[in-house]
Amino acid sequence: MNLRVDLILESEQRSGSAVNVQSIKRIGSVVGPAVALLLAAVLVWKFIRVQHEYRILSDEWDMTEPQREAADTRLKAFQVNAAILQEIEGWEKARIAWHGQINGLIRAVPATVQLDTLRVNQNLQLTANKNVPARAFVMDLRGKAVGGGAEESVRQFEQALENREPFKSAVDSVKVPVYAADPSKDADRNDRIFGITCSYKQKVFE
Amino acid sequence: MKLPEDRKERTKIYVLIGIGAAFVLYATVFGVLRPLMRNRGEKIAAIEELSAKLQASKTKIDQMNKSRGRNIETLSRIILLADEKGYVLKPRLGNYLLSARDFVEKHAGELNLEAEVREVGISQLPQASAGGEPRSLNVYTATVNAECGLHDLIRLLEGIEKGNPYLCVSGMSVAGQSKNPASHAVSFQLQWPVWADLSRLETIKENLRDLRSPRGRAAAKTGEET
Repeated sequence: MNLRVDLILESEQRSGSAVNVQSIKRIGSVVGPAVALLLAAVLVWKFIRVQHEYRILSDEWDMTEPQREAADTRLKAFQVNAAILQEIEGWEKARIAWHGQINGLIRAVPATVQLDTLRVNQNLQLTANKNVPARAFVMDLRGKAVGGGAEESVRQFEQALENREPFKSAVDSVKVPVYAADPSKDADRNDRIFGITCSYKQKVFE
Repeated sequence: MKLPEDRKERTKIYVLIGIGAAFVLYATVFGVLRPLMRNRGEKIAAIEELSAKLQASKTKIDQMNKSRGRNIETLSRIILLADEKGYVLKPRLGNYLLSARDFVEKHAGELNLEAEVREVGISQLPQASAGGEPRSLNVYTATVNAECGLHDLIRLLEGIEKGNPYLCVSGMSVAGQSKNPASHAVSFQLQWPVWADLSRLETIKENLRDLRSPRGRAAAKTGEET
């Protein structure tokens, strides 16, 4: 026969293990809030640090802002001045030195050719690609070529205007729109009148 | 404080504590931490923006310091060309023809030529669009009439064109004369740059004085120190 005697009440029984629900509850009730508090403190600390950094940068910005505005104004002024200088210097690039061209013309005219008139016209226009103002010059020559070699002389003159300096680098195209017998009374039957048109390359204001 | 012996009463207290703790937790997270985090996020974004702006400002201030010298150089050159060398034609009491005539007659006189100078007027260079930045320079055109040989014409044009490299012979007509084959009837147009706004040159001079003044130097120095 077995006899069981409970010396302590059931409610008074305790576990002999070091880890039990009760101890976990106790530790958790301390550690949990402590961790939560620590996390909150870390967050608050980070916030304060960011706030501090922001204030330092704001102060720096307040100091820099007027200088930046001054720099902006000066840089804009510099750009305006640079544009003015470029505009002035553009005038030098947009011209042809005609003394050189006429000098070249005297050298290029064959001995059997006599020039009667010389006309230069300018057309102010905008360039097709960049919309920049430019000068386009056309030189129109009228004259006579005498003797049997008149045609050859006019061709020679045309070629000189196409291939010789100072024309070669400046002229875009050379045409002979007029070539005919000389209608004047005292002219020989081999004498010819001619017209030569030289279109110059655009001279851009830039 | 001692918890009640009764299990039910104790459970009630635990539940109440739990509800209280949950409420505190909720209030802390949503009332304090979340706004704090949101504020921090906004501040971080603002810091990044400010840092970028500060960097850009410092670059600009550096550029200003470097550009000061170039600006002085630019203004000096404008004044040299437009004012001191007189390449941009200046009017005399509003009259451009007098200045143009002086210039042409000076060169014609050196060759013992007589040249008649007539005013054509002021015009503008073609502009890309109506709303574009207005140009600083306009075009003043005058016509020169003379009778001379071709070699004299070349010398006259050479003198004029070398005397002002910004002036342009924009048109020309040379016709032989049957009565006097050695002399031609010559007519040519000259175009000078002129200021669209006459006060511009004075403003440029003032700007240069300002940049060279101790105040201008100090402003640049302050920029350097930032």
